[in-house]
Amino acid sequence: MIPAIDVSLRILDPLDDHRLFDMRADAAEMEALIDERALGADTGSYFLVAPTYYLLARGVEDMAAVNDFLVAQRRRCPGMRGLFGVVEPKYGDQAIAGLERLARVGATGVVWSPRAQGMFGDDLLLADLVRRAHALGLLSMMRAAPYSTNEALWRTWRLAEQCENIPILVSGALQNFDSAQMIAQSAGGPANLHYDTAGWTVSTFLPRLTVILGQRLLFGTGGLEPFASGAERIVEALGQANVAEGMIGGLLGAHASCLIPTAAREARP
Amino acid sequence: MTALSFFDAHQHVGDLRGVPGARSGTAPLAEDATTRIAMMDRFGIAACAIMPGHSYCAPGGAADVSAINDRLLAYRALAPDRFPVVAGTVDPRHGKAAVAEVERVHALGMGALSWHHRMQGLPMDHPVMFDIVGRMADLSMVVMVHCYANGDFESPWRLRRLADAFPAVSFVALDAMTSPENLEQIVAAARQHDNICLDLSSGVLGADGIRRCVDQLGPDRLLFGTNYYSMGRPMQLEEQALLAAAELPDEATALIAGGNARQIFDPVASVSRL
Repeated sequence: MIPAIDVSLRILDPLDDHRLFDMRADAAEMEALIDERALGADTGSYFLVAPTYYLLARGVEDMAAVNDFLVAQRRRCPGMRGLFGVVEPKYGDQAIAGLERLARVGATGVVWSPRAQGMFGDDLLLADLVRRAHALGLLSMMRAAPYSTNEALWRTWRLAEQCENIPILVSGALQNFDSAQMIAQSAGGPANLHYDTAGWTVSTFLPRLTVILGQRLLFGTGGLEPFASGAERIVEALGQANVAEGMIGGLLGAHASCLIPTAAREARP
Repeated sequence: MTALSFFDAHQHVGDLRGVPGARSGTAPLAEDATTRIAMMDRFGIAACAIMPGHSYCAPGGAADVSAINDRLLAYRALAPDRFPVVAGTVDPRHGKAAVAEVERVHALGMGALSWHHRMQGLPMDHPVMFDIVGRMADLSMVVMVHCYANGDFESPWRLRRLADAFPAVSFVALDAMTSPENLEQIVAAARQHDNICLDLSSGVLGADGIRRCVDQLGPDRLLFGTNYYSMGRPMQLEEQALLAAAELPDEATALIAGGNARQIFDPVASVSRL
């Protein structure tokens, strides 16, 4: 088994896409969800990604609670190489403070979910925050929910153009047939965009995308399937398509190591 | 058209951030109200329902949303005969705290609540929305929801679920006419659920859209609405032009211009005299 790095092991309730996690009351259940998805990660490692939906009745306090939970998982999860925390883009100065806090705790990056955060994916505010995150050493992950208008791929491409030369990792775009076609036919769009494999299906034509995107395609489950079966599914699909083992290995792990250099170092305590 | 007494069911106090070309920034309430009333006077709008801009910032969580609602109530107090209906909001992502806010604002005299779910981050038919609308049903409040075309969280099928669950609640679908398919879906929902009505703001279908609605639903389910945002100074109101161009019978036009809205909102705001 080729060692794999899941760049987008998102905390997700498999029975409820829009579950509003209560970071206090649901902590134990969330840990169980992580463990279930991380099954098989002893053969590799993963980056833990914040849930998309969480209670925000206490505003900044609740936002911080999400990130505190992720940080706490470092001690518990040996396969965890890093984390993507959250910042609420519409929180003004508190959003910037949130980025700074994430940088201080050694987060790998920040995950933006325009749909869940009530934004358009190409909002100028979001572009500014992506630039700020980059300046703090944080990698931006951008959610691309299937057939969402707020997270439409054309908006992500516009955002990328506003953040030239800043790498952005798009999670979930391959779950959308039309987006997968768009990516394939446009050589991946803006060169600073990278894509994970979250949600890919037969309709995604993954072997073709593997060749087209090269280093810009990374293994990531998006929390939609367990680590081990996610990696196996890719190996099987690409093997059947006679994709070179080197390319498969790159997709499964090497590309992540290039994009996220901290993956090569141990996670901070 | 000046003989008609318009009631505008769809006005925002606030701005539409994040949309290129849209006005952003706010003015003091009194200045905002003066500008709004001048617009209303110019176009023969007797009264309106006001709601917030739904792209608000709420780093303080539920407390910030409460402040938004308090601001709307203060706005109404500036000219209660012109702004008789206040449709505040509660944030679905605040969970149970949102239900508590429903009770609070109702006690303060608010008769409706509004949402723009693609700006507020959860789908219209999320379980928490059922809790919220359930409480609104207990309090006989009106639900106003944006159903902008292709706004997946604002899809008409989601509205249908809520309308089905709460048949005694009046639902106003805003921005219904933003695509042919969107209107078709909402009209289909309204045919099944007589507690759904729709406004004619953002009418990309033109006068045909209005005629289509009247043809399928009758004239008493359509409300005049402009989607006006704070400090705007429009040169004309497209929605008035479209209503005139629809060339409906006078009685139907009068209902759409204001009669229907007055009927829907009268139980919560005594607007029939306005």
